[in-house]
Amino acid sequence: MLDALSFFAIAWLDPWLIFLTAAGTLSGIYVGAIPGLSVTMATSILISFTFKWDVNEALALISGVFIGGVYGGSRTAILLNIPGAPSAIASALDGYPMAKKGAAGEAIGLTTIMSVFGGFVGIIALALFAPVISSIALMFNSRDYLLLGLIGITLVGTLSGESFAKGAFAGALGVLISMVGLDPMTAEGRFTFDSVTLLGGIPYIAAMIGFFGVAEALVQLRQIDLPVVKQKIGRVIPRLSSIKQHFGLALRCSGIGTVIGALPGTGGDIAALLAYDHAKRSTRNPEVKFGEGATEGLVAPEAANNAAVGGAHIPMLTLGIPGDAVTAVIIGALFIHGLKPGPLLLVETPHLFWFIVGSLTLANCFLLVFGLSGVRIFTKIVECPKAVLIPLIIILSAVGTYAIQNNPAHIYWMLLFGVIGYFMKIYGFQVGPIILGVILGPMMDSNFRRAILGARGDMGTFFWNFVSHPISFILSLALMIILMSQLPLWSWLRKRST
Amino acid sequence: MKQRGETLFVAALLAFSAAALWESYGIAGFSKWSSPGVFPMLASAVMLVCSLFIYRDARKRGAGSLIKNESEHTFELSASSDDPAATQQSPPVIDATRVFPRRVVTITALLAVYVVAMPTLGFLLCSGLFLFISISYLWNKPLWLSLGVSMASLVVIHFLFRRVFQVVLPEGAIISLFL
Repeated sequence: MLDALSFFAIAWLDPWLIFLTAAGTLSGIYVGAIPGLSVTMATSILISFTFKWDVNEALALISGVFIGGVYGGSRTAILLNIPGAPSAIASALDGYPMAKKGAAGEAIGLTTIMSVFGGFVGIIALALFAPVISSIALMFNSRDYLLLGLIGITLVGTLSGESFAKGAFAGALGVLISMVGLDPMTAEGRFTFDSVTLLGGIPYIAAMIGFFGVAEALVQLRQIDLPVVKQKIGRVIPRLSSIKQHFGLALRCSGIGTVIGALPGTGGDIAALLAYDHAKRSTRNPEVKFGEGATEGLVAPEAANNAAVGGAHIPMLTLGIPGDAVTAVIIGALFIHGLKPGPLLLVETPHLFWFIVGSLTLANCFLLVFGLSGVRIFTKIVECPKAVLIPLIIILSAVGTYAIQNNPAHIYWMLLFGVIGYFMKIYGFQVGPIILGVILGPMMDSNFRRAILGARGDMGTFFWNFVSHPISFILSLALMIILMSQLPLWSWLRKRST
Repeated sequence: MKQRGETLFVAALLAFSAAALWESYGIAGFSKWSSPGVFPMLASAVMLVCSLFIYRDARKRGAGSLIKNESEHTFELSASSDDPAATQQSPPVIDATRVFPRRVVTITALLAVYVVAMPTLGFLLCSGLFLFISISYLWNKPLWLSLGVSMASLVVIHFLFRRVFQVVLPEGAIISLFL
């Protein structure tokens, strides 16, 4: 316990780490707030600069960016009715009507308090449950990891984008990208086409920056002329009575956010929408109708999406399975820093786990400070013309990609993925599953083959093992339910029952 | 709703998936279930099946007039946003009638030139030129303002990443000759 506390305190005692956490939180808020510049984009660009840093410094910055970015999306959702991040979509439903009524300041203040509250609930859940899940995960075998990977990609494919086929395609494409290069088990080349460059595989950070940085910047070029909406800010610090009034709802929604965030493949956006739905159902007599500026409609998604940050760290750190696209990017950074997220992380490197918990807590405290101050300056910065911003993002993407290994070839990959990502985005494909596929692909491949070798190459035994072992059976069942829910028969049955 | 070029794009994905499946089969065929080619085959088979469904759906839908962006916001489409008059008259309207609007093509082409020229010209010169040309192209402001913003941004980026983050940036073959 004392060890855990001392590791936790490292993030709070080193002035340079404190500065990095603060800088990460602040930049996360601003990048997350700019429509189109998602927290995933910010994380993927920023982490590329941290590869030569000490791991603690990198983790401090990344924790800040994650916490700040998820929150930042709500700012523009309230002020401009344009969510800065997918996790803030639900916040726009009542936040913007509040701003139109002249209560933008109150909406931002309440959002900040509830985001910080939700963030703490998620971090407490991470500190309490991660060690438990980690010890259970030690009982998992290769079959279970394969199933967890499949559940993660399938869930992301199911819940994001306009069709399951597009989500599944994107996930499989990510897996295929990760297969390029030498097979780690047999050293045979896969998709190398006798090219020496391809033997080392496709650099996944270049893929991430291409899909999230360049592709998003190109998509934003299509919307460069959208006019800036200006709002009156007013009082920012919310009234104590207002906080007390929504405490119960915030607690429930933080719970929803933590659980949804902890599911492999689901993140803050799903958590926020479910929490909004919960608020709508559970609030019998709202002072203002939902959709017209109900404070409950703002409290619920904001508490949930920040709670999902702590939740998303649970599967990432204990199972090595990213909770969403941002944690997929972070997990990639952890691999590059030589860490192996999974059940052994808490056994072999407990100091890193508790350091992450400490950094997230510190970032959450900074969120309170930055969230309640500088709102007027913020509105000016968000008005920064996209004509200036987009070329800057492209330059940062190129620098970030080059910084990984000082290899210009990586920038070519970035450009290629940026253009492919652009087309995928405009045709309704989500790029999140691609990154999840890129990260989970090698893990699923090696576990699939280990599971087959464990069954001595006999496919009958291989499939029987999925139903004869309790953990594998539960996970197989979950995967089957997710897949079945996408069949036309399922929607027909649901329609019939209603 | 369907966008122009969607069927063509999905057909390209379909062809790519089929080629990937063929290439995956070439790794080890069906020799063993634990061979290095099995998982790539499974992934490309999933891609192929999914792209067939997506292709069918794309063909079913008629050419529409709506586009959904990443954050699920629906925008009405009309004239090209490259046309300033159209933009002034109906501000929320964005350009999506063309899949690859002129400014996207221009910036992508500039980016391609930028990444190809960077090893030769170096980061500073190349980025400075890219920033100045793209900002002055996208921003309807006087050239001196675009130049000022570009140079100021470049100085900040160089200081931050070269000095603070210690990122090694390409100096460029030409510059190295003079040093």
